[in-house]
Amino acid sequence: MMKLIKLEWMKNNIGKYVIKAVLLAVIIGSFVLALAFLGIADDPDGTLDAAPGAAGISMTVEMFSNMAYLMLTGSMFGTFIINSYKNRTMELMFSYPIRRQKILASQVLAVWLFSFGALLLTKFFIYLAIVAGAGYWQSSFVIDVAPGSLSFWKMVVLRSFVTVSLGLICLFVGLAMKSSKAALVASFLLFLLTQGNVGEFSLAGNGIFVSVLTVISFVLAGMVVCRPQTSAE
Amino acid sequence: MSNILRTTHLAKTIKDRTLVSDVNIHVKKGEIYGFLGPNGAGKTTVMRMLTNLWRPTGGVIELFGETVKPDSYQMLSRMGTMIEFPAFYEGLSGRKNLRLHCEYMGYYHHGSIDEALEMLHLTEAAEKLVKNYSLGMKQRLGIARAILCRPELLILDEPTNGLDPAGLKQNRDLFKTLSREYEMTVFLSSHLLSEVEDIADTIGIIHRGKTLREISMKDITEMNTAYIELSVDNVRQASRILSDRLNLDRFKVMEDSRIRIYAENIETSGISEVLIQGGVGLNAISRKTETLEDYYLSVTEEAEQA
Repeated sequence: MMKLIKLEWMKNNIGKYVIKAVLLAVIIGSFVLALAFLGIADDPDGTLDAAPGAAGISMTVEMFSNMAYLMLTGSMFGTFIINSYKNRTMELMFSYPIRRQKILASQVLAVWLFSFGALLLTKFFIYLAIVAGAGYWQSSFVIDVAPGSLSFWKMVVLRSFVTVSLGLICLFVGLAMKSSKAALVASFLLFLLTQGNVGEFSLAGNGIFVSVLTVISFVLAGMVVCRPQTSAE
Repeated sequence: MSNILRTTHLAKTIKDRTLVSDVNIHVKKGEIYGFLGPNGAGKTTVMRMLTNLWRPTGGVIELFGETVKPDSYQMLSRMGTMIEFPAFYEGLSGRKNLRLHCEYMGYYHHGSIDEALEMLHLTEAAEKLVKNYSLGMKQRLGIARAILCRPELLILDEPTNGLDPAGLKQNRDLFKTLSREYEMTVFLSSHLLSEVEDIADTIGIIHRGKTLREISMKDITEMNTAYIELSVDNVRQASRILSDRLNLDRFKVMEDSRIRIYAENIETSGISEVLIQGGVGLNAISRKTETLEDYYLSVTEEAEQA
């Protein structure tokens, strides 16, 4: 399986996505650091202008990085799988002496593993930069980053896992609509659904809702992998 | 010789639409089999089923002596295929596409990629990105990929598409070499009947989803009917003269004011004399033998009329 995943990365020029991941880390990191230490989100009187319950810096880091990676994952699923059906390279894959389910599973895993790893690394470096910055500057946000705490990192891993897994819903939508753009739009809508708020109402902290969505993601991924078909069949 | 590929009453229906209903094919090991049929007859559908891309809704496919099942993936390692236009990873070079193919097929043989590129005259273009290839080059790269892992059975759907005359000649020679020297069985479809005629050992004709005829080229050559072809300025009058004055009943009026006379004991000089005497302008007259195209047309026309 690992060999198939590596071949997927090679075919789809994974180096391009590594550069995108590094750029995302730099952009999100710079923005979060500016929010925390340069006071760009502060009101003129110097008080923090943050959404209710978002006074801790980790909320901001999680929100921006999860948003960026949900969209990156959706776009990668579009390139790796949906476009393969459209440009008929999937048929080429199905002409090889490999189980179709294994081919699809390797493609899904190639995207999932890359996004999950890259998201974890992005968050890791941003949190380290925040902790380092807090040693020198005053932060507008509460520094709720605990690099020495296992439970803190467990939460980071769990949130990253959920975010990247939600990308599987985007894959299903994209395949159903035969459009990689649909996958991208689905990823944006999913982000709004899970992170957005209407007035004071938000599903962002609703564990049950997110758990149900994650389970749905894996059920849909199972359907994609277990029922591979050529286009006209 | 044993059959490497055999189908029995093969059928495929998609959403109430019957694509093929009764296809019976027998391909012997080591031969070149030309699979012929008009557009929409079901050639590509059959090829998709043979390569396990589509599952039959009826009938049986036997490959290498075994019945093909939905999970018969290992058989694919013994086949080289190119169905319709070949798909590639356009952002990769021709060589990298072939390397990927070897990885997926589990075929590691030093020098095989260079050899395949050379056989298809693509050595110079090997490092170019496939997106910069012409249609003919992509077609040749598709054939290179199909033969790369030395398959026992080569299934090619319209391999002549997009090729120039030089490419057609190279293809003909290549298929003959693969069959004679490498003992590959070649199963190919083509709408260029003259191409198939030149290389095929056996042909199968499919029409409206059913195989009409399977026959060896040797048998076609042996039963080739000789005929006299006339080109006249008045077909109706010429037909009347042939019928009334020469007592001929085995002749056929073709397109473009041509008439074909299927009679053995008659001289062209006698025919031209009678026609001229009857006031028919004779543009040309010659003795010919039927080609594969004639045979194909007669079989398909017969099926149309039935």
